Amino acid sequence: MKTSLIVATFATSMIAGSAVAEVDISGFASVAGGKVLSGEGVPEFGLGPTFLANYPIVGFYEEDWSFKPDSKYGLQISADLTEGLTATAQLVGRGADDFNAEFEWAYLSYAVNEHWTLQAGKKRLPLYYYSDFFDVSYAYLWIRPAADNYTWQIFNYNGVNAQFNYQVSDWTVSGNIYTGREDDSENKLLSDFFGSQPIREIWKNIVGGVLSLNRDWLDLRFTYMTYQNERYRNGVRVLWDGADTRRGKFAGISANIDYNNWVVLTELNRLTLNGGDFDTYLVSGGYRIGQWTPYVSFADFDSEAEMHSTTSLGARWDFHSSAAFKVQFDDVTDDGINGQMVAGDSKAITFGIDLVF
Amino acid sequence: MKKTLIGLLVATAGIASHTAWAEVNINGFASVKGGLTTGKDDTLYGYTNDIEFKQESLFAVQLSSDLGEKLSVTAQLMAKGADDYDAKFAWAFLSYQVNDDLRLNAGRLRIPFYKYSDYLDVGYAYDWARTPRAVYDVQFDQMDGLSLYYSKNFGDMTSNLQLVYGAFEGDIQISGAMSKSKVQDITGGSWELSNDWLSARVAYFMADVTINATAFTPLLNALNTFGFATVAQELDFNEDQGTFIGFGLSYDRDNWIAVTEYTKVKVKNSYMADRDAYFVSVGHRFDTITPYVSFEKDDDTSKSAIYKPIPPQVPLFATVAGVVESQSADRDTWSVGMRYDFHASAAFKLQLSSAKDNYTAQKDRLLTMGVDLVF
Repeated sequence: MKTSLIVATFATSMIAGSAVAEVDISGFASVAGGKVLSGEGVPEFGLGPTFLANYPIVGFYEEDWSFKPDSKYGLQISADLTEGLTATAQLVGRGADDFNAEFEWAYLSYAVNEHWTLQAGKKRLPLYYYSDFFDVSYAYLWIRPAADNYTWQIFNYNGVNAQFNYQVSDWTVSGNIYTGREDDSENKLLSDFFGSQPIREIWKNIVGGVLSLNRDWLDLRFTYMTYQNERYRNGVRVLWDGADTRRGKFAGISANIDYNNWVVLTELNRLTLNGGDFDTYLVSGGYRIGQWTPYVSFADFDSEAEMHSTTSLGARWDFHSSAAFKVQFDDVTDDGINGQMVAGDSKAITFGIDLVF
Repeated sequence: MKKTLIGLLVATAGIASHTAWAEVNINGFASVKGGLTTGKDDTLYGYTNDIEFKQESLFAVQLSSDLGEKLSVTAQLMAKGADDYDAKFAWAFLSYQVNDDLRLNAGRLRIPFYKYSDYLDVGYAYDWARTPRAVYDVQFDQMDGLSLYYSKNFGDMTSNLQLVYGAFEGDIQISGAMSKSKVQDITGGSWELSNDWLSARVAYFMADVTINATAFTPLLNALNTFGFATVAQELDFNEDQGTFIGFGLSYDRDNWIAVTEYTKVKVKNSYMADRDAYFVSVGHRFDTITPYVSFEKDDDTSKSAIYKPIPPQVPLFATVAGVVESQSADRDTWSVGMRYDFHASAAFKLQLSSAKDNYTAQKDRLLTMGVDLVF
């Protein structure tokens, strides 16, 4: 078999439409605007009133209206090569990043049988319940998953994983086992927001797993991940108690209920890093009334020095079969001590439209 | 699989006209590769002793559309792991098919330095885990400009001539630092003559190379200050003439595959060594499995004449000599590997490479495995 013939499509005259695979394109977009209504900021950092809506990509609102922090667009490209092989990519441009397009997913999947699929490449790190579709805001109730919970600076990894899916009586049992590494040459959260020097953040020897149990109106999810952290500040390796790496362990549980128009969403996570615990949880409740779903939400982050929580009130209006309007009010309390404040107390309003196509 | 993405494109661009609907073809390719060096302190091609899946993984989507009347447009959006998966247009050009033999391309194009230049990123197109780095080492591979293709059949022979003119602007790595560069008046071409089982190729390019190597600014300033301005001019890249010569030969018959390429790269009046490199690779196809072995030689001769005008007792002598001599290289790389075509448009690859620096006798070994596919 002469590969040069097959690849001829990619040669000088790629115009030939040789149908090698079925390519599907879908996408999503969010346009959201918001502002801080009142806030204290953090005077000791010289930070004015700020609402940090998205930690990992540093999306924040200030006192003037901004349409960037939560706005984004995305294209998903899926090529079915048949015989179980698929190539998938997700191209995302986020307002917080000046809409620069980046591939958030770039992976290959191979369906071994009806239960198991092997994947390799770049994927979302599936720490949290909403990690896999974090950018697809249409997929969830709020404007954004609780900022106080989805705080970790690394949210992708490059590696391999195995997904499974079984039906056990009334339960759908699915999950994922993964391993890999992420090397972020200039981490935005650590370099821009929590510091002023370029920080290269490496999470290596990542090993984790996810187990999901679904039946009817109940959805349970368990997550665990362990990794080694390596960090360079301005090119100089950071030491923790004299060691050049530190071990982090992440564990979480989530229980969601969707019953008789009531929606209850909960998530509880703990990251243990060098013996210190970082605890997060969220509780949301909503009630579906026709196209409208008003909701309340409380999310909390608690560690030795960094402590903050957000109480949110909002509504989702499904005015279209593939688009939703959302409005949300957030009240943040920042109780950080010892210089571990994030952005101070704030009250903010955000509204926007999320859609998929 | 002809996608009418144009509806989306048109809507996004806000073009109201519905007169120019053309069909858009979507193709693409992807590679996911993992690698690690076998020795604790070994490093090769960016890999270390920690296994890593980012260095050579990539994903690309290619859109092409025939606009009719001999005009077509092609764009390739690519994200490389080594580049943090930032999406970039590697190619974007218009093609005008003058007649059956002649085609003109204009836009962002690949420079046909090497035999596999057109598929540098399409790992599926070759058997190795990567194109041989000793030879495939020019730091830029695209330009903005024009390219003329002329292909003609003579009996069972095919002749492909490609002439290019253009310029590259971007970053080139100099002594570890990305440096703003301009390569202007890139002029040259490649000519390939092939039949069913044998192909021979020659390529020649020249260009004016300017690199603002900030790493060397203090040294150049010092040379100018101490009266060695001519030495400074011999070191820097300031519209200096670069030349590229390449030869290639490949054989593919009775399941035996052999490929060799030789390149010679020079930039006059710069500290860059004269680079000579070649590789030879031989493989044999056993149905879906193709084992191969390859040898690469990198032989870079430093320009010692540059620092001769500086008297050895002047402290700058050692610095300049160090910079110039750091450019010399004598490296042998052996690779053994195999390609396994487990799918009609995907291949699994496994390759072990061992690079030996003949100056230091340091050996770095790298194991790479991964999947290349096209869609």
